[in-house]
Amino acid sequence: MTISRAQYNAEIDATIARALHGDQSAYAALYDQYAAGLYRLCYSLLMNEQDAEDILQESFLYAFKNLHRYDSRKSALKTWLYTIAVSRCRNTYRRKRFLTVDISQWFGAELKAPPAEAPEAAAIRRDASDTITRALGELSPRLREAIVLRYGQGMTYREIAEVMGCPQKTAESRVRLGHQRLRQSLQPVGLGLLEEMLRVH
Amino acid sequence: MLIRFKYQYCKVHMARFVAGDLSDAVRRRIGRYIDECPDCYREYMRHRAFDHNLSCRLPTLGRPSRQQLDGMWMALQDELVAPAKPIDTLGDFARRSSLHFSYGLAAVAICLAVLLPIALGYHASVAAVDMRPVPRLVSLARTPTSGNLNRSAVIAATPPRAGASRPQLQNTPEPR
Repeated sequence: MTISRAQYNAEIDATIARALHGDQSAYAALYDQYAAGLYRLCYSLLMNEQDAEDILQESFLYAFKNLHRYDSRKSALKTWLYTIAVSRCRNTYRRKRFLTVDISQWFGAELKAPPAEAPEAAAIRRDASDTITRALGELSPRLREAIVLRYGQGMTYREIAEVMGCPQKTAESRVRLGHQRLRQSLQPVGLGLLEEMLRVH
Repeated sequence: MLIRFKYQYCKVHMARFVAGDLSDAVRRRIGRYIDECPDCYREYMRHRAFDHNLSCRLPTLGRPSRQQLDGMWMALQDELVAPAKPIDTLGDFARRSSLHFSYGLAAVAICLAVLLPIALGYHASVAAVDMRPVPRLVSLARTPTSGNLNRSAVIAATPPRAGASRPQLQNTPEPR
């Protein structure tokens, strides 16, 4: 049985009201509703499990403590939560960019990788078979956000604009540009899939 | 040539065509090109395949397990029920004051380091150099070939000769 968007929103509003009255099960219900999507968003943006978990917890903590500030007339709860998470993800990769600066770029030298591979690096190597993930990591943060929100979360351009804090046209052009970049780097994969589709039809 | 143009046109607008944010006229035109031109059709299919690929793969990226979500919920609950930290006003004030003091001290040190040598060195150098213009000696010479008309002022640091006519300052008209 499917429920309409209005019914869904009414249910969410009722859950928020219960949470604001101190009902712990309402908090759990909100967490269950949005945690998986929010985690996927954080992971897709940061490409690191630990960071994604930290951001998820921070975002929910902030949201639950400031739930009284949420206005359902301005935006959906999902959009509000995603805005909080994206903002924290931006802080994280801004911080990491300065910490993990590549010294070899300064000196133009080719530095060898350390002999022992870290577990995270090994995991990354394992996942490297997934070419989309790798190509996604090569995109600039803004384009990655747009692509992940559009294709990973299935958001509309209006929602993407709201989450990213930019005009709708900008969100559209970021999605388009990200799509174009991904296609350039994944041309062989796309062609393979095309042939597969053509064979099926 | 026309086919090439159609293909280029389709390629440029394809992303917006698939996203559905083109005007009706442009949409109709691209739709016609897709029907007529095999390259345009292939481009359209490629684009759709790629869209499909992204829409299928990205939602599976980083999907958390139930255990992972439960673990995070437990940690979150701990943080939610933890009492809020009391506001350490005195400590905060002291910390901020010490920061202000450090920054102020650094600023004063930088100002001193920059301005002091300039202030001291400037007067010393001014005193050492005499800025008044010194009159230079000019000797008049008549070239032997020009006879009597070609007069020129030769600016030189040549000492005045014993038997030479009286030296004159530069730009002083010659007495007639």
